Amino acid sequence: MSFKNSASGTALLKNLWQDNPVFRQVLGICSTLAVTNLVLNTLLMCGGLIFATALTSLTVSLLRDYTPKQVRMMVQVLIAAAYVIVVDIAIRAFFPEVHKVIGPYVGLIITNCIIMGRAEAYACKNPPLPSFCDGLGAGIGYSLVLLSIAVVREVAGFGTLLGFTLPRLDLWWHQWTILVMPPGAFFMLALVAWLANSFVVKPANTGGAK
Amino acid sequence: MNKRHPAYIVGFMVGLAALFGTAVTGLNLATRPIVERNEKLVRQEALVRLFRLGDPAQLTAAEVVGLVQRRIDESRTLRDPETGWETPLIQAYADDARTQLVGYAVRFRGLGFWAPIEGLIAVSADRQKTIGIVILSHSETPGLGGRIVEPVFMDQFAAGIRVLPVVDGKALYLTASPPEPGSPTYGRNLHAITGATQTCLAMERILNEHLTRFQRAMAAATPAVAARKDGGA
Repeated sequence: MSFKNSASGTALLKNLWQDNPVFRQVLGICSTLAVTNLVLNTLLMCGGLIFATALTSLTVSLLRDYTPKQVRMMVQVLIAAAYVIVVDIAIRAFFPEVHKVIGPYVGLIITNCIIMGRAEAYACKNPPLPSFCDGLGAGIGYSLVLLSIAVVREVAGFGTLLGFTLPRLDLWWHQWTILVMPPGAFFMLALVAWLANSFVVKPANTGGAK
Repeated sequence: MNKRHPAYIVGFMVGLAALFGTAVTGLNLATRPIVERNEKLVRQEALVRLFRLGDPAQLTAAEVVGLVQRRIDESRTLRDPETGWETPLIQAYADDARTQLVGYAVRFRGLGFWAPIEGLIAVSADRQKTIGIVILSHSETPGLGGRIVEPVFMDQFAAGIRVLPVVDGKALYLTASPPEPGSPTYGRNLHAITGATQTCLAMERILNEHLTRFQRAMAAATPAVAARKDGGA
């Protein structure tokens, strides 16, 4: 059986597109709106989220047979918080310049619904490797959407990409300041979700539970 | 093993919290010296950049430390007689003998749009104009309020905003467009950034607060401190 058809492969690939956490599961919307006006911030946020989601899912899965049902969500938050703090400490110690840029957002990864959503929906019921792949896929799927929004917002709003001014763009493009402001994030997210759900993603089978 | 038993639940949570707590605390303790060294270096680089004593990007960490030790004097404390506010007086010199005063810097801290903004603002030796600013920490929204750290905002201070005299607690004025020559705010204005209006307003308030205290404290300073502004050793 190929990796693509294995439980791990399915968990990883489904989250990239078919069950994308942002435009299919509508998770992680707050940060999608907040960090996507600059591509660099988005990249760094995505890196932190991929790390935290994948390892939280792995740990939740490893502990699933020992975790009392009544406190499972507390356990998930505790695990997610620990990994996010690890990310924060590591960035602060080894990449202080990066920490200056995304420091305010790293702590907020704890509250990202994708981490809890995947832990609760998948990791607490499945083996470690597929759970890790599920978290990894969710993180990458989230990143794909965020980066596509961030590229449009930064280029159209600031006339730059990753902080570098795009040559000759100002000759024919007048910067849309609204795109780098909060309403711009709503417009872009709605546009991406509409495009993805209308033209790209096949409709889910609604023929009833199997 | 009954996972529903209260003792198990409490024990599990305590054990898990202790495990993760210990791991995170251990990592924090292990990296603390690195973080402290980084923070110290960041502040020293900020001082070098603030007074244009050199380009920190071209200097090694040891050179930055040496430059700050030789040319920055933080041994004096300023006190505002009206409010009792006290702050270290940062004085920078253009030479190692400390004969040519470049200017003064004062530390500022105040509430931005979301959380405190902390930094240093420098004024010329005659205290008439700003010569630079650095933001040491802030938690404003990246891409919006966070744009106050970008050159478009910071360079205005390096270009020189007139901050004397202080009128009704205002040393500088935030404006949406450049004032006409001859208007009271001409040469004393700070341009706001689109998307960072609230943070710029907060910066105007914080800086006016600190510059007002600083100017008052300097005016009332001891002769020894006052003499420094004229380049006296």
